[in-house]
Amino acid sequence: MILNYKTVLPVIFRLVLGIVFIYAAIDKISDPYTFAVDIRNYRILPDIFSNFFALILPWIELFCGLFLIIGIFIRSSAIIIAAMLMVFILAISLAMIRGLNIDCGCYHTMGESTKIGYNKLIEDFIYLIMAGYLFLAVNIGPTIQIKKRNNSIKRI
Amino acid sequence: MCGLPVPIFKTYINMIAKELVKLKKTIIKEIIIIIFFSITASLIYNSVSKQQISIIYHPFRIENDKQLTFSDIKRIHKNKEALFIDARTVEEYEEGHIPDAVNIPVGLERSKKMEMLNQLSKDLQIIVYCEDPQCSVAERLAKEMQYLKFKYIAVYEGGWDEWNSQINSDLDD
Repeated sequence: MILNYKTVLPVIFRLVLGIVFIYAAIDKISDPYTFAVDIRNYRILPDIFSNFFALILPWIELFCGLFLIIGIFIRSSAIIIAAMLMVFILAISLAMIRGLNIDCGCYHTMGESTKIGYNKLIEDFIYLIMAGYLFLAVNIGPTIQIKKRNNSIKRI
Repeated sequence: MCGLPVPIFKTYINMIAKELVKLKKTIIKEIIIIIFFSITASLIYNSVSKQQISIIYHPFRIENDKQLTFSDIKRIHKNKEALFIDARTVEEYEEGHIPDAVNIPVGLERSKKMEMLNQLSKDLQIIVYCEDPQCSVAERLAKEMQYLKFKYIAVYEGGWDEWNSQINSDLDD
């Protein structure tokens, strides 16, 4: 295997995105209540749906992160991550335009919190570029192939 | 200068859209699988987790609770009708807090937190606050205390921000 940026870059991107999303997901899965409050603070969704999204979203992040690292459904995981990042960017931008000084709800282990701001936007843009690259790249690094079972029976 | 990244971003989005059209069937199938796994796993986990929350959100209501305005808080504080608990970090608490408030940071080690909470009577009237209406730690601590069977807990949503500004403006007047 030839080592150049086309072969190394996707592997690095997969590892970075995978680790970031798994870390963020575990944090939210362990404390869905706080994440639901964070979602409500953005004032974008009707409050009634906040718990539902607080439950589902971290698990999507976890599966996508895991799949990126182990090499299954890479393009699909990348496109889901890209879609989520676009939503995060939109939500943070809207909150900033409205002048809300809220926790971003990204990672808050042990009560620590990160406020929304330009740093968070830039961070999400970088991840978005990585996810987009993974989706478009021809070579996406080592993968696990799921072979289709051949069920045809040879009749004599 | 600000307009420069926009065309690049548009081209990037167009490339992704074209690729999506090409791989439509496989991608959609895989996305459905991932979302199905996620929903199933989250529902199963939530049903067995200690941090279980209801799927549909019902606004948080504490027994005998009502929206506490600054004048309510001021009266309660003046008459010492309730214990004030500051749920912010030690550093934030040390920078300034409501007089006589006890600091129980929500991120405190569980054993220490339990030790502090167990010293309090379950019948005590308690008001929990944090920084401002956007912070979540006060509500979280109040919820934890509710699980511990504390009967009379209220969250002061205005928090330290409102208290500090109102007290200062009262002094100015």
